[in-house]
Amino acid sequence: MPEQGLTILVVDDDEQFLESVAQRMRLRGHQVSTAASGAQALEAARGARLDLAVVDLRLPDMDGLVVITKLRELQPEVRTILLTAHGDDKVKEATESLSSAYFEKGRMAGFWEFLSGIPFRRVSILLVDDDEAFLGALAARIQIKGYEPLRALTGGQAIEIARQNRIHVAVVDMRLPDMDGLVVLTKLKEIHPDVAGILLTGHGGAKLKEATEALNSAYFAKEDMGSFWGFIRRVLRNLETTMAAAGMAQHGDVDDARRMGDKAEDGEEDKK
Amino acid sequence: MSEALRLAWRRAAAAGLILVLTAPAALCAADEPLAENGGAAPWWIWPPILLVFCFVLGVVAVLAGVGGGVLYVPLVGGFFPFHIDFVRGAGLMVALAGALAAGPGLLRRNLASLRLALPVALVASTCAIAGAMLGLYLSALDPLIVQACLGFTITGIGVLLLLSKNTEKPVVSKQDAMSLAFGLSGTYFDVGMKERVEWKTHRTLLGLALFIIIGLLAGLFGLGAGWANVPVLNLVMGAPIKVSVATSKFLLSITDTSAAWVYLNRGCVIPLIAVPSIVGLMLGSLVGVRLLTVVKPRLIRRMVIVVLFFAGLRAIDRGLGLGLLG
Repeated sequence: MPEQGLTILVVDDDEQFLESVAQRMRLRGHQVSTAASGAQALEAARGARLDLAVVDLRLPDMDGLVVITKLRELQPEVRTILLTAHGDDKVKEATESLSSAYFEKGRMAGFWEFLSGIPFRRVSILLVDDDEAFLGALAARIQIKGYEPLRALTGGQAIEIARQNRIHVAVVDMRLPDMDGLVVLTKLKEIHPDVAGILLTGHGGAKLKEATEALNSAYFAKEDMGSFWGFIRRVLRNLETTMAAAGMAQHGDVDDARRMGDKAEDGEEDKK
Repeated sequence: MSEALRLAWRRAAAAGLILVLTAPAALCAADEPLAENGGAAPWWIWPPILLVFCFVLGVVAVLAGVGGGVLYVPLVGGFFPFHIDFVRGAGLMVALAGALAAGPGLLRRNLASLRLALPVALVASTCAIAGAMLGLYLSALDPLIVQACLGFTITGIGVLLLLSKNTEKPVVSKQDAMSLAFGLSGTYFDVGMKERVEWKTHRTLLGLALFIIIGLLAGLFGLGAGWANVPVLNLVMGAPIKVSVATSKFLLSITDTSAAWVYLNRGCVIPLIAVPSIVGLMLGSLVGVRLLTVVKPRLIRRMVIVVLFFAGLRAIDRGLGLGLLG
């Protein structure tokens, strides 16, 4: 699944409001933690990566804007929203200068709309393979499913990219020009311990499979994927097209049936 | 493709057609002694014969542009020694199998329109149930009544196939209220013309009313109803021919399912008849599609219409007990 709920921190000293907002967010599939004060919020931010923080302006220990600034220091990528019951244009301006969104508690509809506008967390995928054509094809297929894959042609590049970006999934070819795929996976795991590794190989074996699984990664042989499933899919697709053509013909549209039938025959060449 | 090969294909197709034309006659001769001697031919001879017969029928149905189910009931009913109820039950299964196999491909290409199919299917399949019950009731009274009615219908279908001229893209100037309410419009990509075609329908109420009759007939005789669906969708309701044809095929998978239940429930679907028929027709239509590129279907279509007339008149003859056609 490309979508995963956001990790959200809600900070407010009004317990009832806090719970009701958190509950609503959970219903939308987000993971929500709550904090009743600025200090608690900062503590929570030190413990876990956040996608979004929703902060009340008036907190018992500090100003909401201060909390937002400090959260930003801890996690530069976090998105922030200021909520307030007592807003005015000045606060709004101040909030927006922090490139943070601003909503009044009296108009929560706007807030929910904004929240649903935030894309769910992007799962970033790193593809590492020295075969550029294969890499391109794989990236295109992954893009269709709604992900933005990062690409690397060598192990060195992959590690460089992993240092600069947060990686959730890494798909690594076994044979790379500069290093072994297993080494790359190990190094990626050092940088991002929770990365899910997948090893792809044209030259597999039981030993390699074991080694991959020891790294808590999945293992696939390249040729199994393409040929077998491709073959089955092609046969089924051709059959489907042919039957559709037969259906068209039997109900009187012979010209289109002929065209579709031709395509079913050519189908195999198309895919090669 | 070389001219010689083309000629060879044409000969093969002609030979297949002759087989269909002669098979009923030959089988007809075989079926008379069977009736008299009480089983001179062993029972297991019929499934293989049916398989071969339906294979050829499948090829011809595709080439002639006539539904397999429409050819199946009159020909098998007329020339095989099976009770008409079993033939109708198997005929429904045959039409259903073809429709279900074609459905996914047609829907994927956006040629079969779900929006257009569903209201129509609701009407047609309700009436198909009624038709199936009526048909079984009538044949319980006397199978000859059904034979005669079938004969008239088949002859009518022959006339319809001979005369109907479908329109490629009917002009629909104003969508009527009912069509608007059901959202009976859509768009598809015409591969041949390389353009997007938008379409809408009109005269919806009249179209739906006609589907009452079509549904009844489909259930009554176990025919696929492409011959009637297409003209109504195309000429009356104004859907483009491609959409009409594809939707009509898809429609059968709903309409005939309802009728098939009635036949199944009454024990009228005999696997020994239905299975070879379905397998034969499916394989036949697979081959038929391959042959489409090398065969001129016009002549075959005319010949099939002649066969239909013959089968129809024979059924009338039998049903009314005139004894003019043997």
